[in-house]
Amino acid sequence: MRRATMTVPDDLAAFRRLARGLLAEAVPPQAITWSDGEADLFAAPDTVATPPAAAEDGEGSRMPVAPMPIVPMPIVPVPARFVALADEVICHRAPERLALLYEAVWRIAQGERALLEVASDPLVHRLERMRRGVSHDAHRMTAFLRFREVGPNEFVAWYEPAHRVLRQVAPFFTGRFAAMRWAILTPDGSLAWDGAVARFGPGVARDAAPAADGLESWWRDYYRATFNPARANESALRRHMPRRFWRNLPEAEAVPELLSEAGRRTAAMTTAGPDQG
Amino acid sequence: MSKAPTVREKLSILADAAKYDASCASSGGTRRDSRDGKGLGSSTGNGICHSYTPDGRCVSLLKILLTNFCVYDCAYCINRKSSNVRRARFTEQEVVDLTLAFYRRNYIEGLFLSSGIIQSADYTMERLVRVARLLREEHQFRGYIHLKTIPEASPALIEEAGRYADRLSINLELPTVVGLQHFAPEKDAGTIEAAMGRMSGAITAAAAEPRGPRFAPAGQSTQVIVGADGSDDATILDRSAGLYGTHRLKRVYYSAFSPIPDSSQALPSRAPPLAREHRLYQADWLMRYYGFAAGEILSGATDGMLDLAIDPKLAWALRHRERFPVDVNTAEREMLLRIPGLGVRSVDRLIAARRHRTLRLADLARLAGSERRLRPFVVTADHRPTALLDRSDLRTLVAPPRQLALFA
Repeated sequence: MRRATMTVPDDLAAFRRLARGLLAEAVPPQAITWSDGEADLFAAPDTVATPPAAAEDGEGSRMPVAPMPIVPMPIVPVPARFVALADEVICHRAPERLALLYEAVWRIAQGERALLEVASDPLVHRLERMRRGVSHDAHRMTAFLRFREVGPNEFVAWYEPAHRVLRQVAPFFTGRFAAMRWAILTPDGSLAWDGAVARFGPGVARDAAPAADGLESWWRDYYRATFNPARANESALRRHMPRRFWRNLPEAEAVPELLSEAGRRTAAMTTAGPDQG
Repeated sequence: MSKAPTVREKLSILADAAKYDASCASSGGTRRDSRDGKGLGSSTGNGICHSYTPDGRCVSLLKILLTNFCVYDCAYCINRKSSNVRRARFTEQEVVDLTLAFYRRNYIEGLFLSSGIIQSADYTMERLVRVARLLREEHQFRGYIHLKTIPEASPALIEEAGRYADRLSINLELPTVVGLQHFAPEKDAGTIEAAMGRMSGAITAAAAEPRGPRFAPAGQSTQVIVGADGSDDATILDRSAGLYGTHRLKRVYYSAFSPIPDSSQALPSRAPPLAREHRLYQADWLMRYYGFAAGEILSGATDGMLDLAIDPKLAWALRHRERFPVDVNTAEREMLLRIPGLGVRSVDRLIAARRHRTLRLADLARLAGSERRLRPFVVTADHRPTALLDRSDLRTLVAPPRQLALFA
C-alpha cells in the first residue's frame, strides 16, 4: 500500500504534486492510503509505518501490494474543470475527499476526459455534493459572520465554519471591507487585514472572540421589528439558518421570545378586529 | 402624541412599518468592490441573506421607511392616514449613519428605503434620493441600494434615483384596477403603469449604453398583495406575465395579505393561507425559467386557483398525462423542464451527461436528488412506466406526503 500524506489539509498545490507523482508511476487509486495531517482515523494499522523520509516528500512508502500491471503513464494536463472542482473539494472536512479526487484524476488520465461532465456518475455526483457543501458553507460565512468594533475603524469577528473555507472567502472580505482594519478568527486559522495586506495566521480558541459592541442591541431591535408574527414559521427558519449558527449570531438571541409571543400577538391583531375608521 | 422618539426607537417603528414589503433581494447589482481603499462595500451580483427572521424570510437589506407619516389612506396599509400607529421620521443623515454602521458589521447588503408620502410626491422622493446620494457620493458606499419610487414624482427625480440605486420598485399592490380603486382610492393604476413604463425604458436604454449614465442596473420589481381582494390566481399570474412582458420587470413579489394591528374594516378578517403565496411563487418561476406561458399553468383547472396541496408543475403534469412519459435520453430541453421533480440545473446537467452516457433510472436519481416523483413520467434505458400514467391514484403516488405541514 502506498501512503500519500498532506501536511496542510487544504493545500491544493501539495495535493496536485502528490497526485502528479502517483500518476506518473501509474499507481491506481485502490493502492493508495491518503492522509491529510489531521487525526488519521481511517488508516489501517498495517499502513501506518511510513518511513519519515518518504513521508516528507509526500511519496509515501514503497510497500508492494498485490501484483498490478504497472504501466508508466504519460503526464496529461488535467482539465481546468478538475482544478476548479478540487480547489473547493479540498476544503471539505471529510477525510475521503483526497482519495475521491485522486480517483477522478486517475480516471481522467486513463482516458475519461469528459468525466466531470457526467454529473450522473456516482463518483462525480459525490464530488459535486462535496463541492456544493463547501460552496454553501463559504457562502454562509460571508452571510453569517458578524464584525464587532474593538477600536476606531477596527473590527474583529469570530466564526466557526463547517469546512476549511477561510481562504475561499478571503477575497470577499478584503474586497468589501478594504478601508477598515479587521481580523477574522476561526478555530482553523485567522485572517488579518490592515488596510493593505491580508495575513493568514493560526487558529484560535473561542474565548479569543471579542465582546459584543454597542450596535448589536440596535441590530436585535431591527430583527425583532422586521419580523411579522402572523407569518411565524420555525421550520423554515431552521432550514435556512440552522441552530448551530445561532450562538455566534447576535440577533438569534431574540428568536425564542419572538416565536413564543407570535401566537399571542397574531391573535391580538385578529380578535381586536377592524377598527371603526 | 407622546414625546419624540429616539433614533433607536425610530429604527423599531420604521422597520416595523416597512416589513409588509416582501422584497429583500440584493441581487443583480453591477459587480464592484472597494479595493481602491476609498469607500465601503461591494456587490457580487448575487444577493446574500445575512439572516432569517423567525418566519424563514431572508434579511438582506436594512428595510425601513424614511417616515410612516402618510397623506394616503390605503386600506391594506398599516401606515395609512387613519391608522393610529405610532409615527416617526428619520432624518436623511440618520438613515445614512445606520446603513453604514450595520454594513460595517456585515449585518446587511445595503439599504431598501421606502416612505409614506409627506407633503407631496416630489418632496418625499427628493428626500429618498438625498439619502442615496449621500451614501454614494459622500461615503462612496458600494453596497446595494433599493429605492421605492413614487409614481407621481417628477421624471427628473426618478432619473436621479436610478443613478444611485441598484433597483427601483413601484408596488402595484392590488392585481386589478378595480381592487386598487376600492382599497387605495388616492392611487391611480394608470399613473403606476405609466411610471413603470418610463422606468423600463430608462433601464433598457442604460443597459444598452454601458458607458452612459447608469440607471437601476438590477432592474425594477413590484409587489402584489394576495387575498385582500377577490382576484383568483389565474388573474394574478396573467397580470404578472403582462408585467414581465411589457415592463421587463425583474421580479413580481406576492405578499399574502397579512392581518395588521389596527386594521381597516374594508379588509377581509382572515389571512389567506401562506401556501397560496408559495404556490404563486412556484408558478412565477415556471413562467420565468421553465418556459410556461401564464395561461398554460392553470389550463385544464376549473376554478382559476393553484392547487395548494401539490406544486403547479406536478399539477400541470397530472392534468396533461398525454405529454408523458418523456424519454430523458432523447427529449428536448423544453420538455425535460416539464418533468415533475426535475429542476433547471438538473436538466442542464442531464443534457451534458447524456452526451457521454445513456442514462438509467439510477443516473436520473443522482441528477435529480430523488426519483420517486419522476418515475411515472420518464423513460430511461432500464425503465418504462407501464400503466402508471393511467392510474387514477397517481396523484397520491407522487404527491409529497406532508408538504402542507410546512405552512401550518
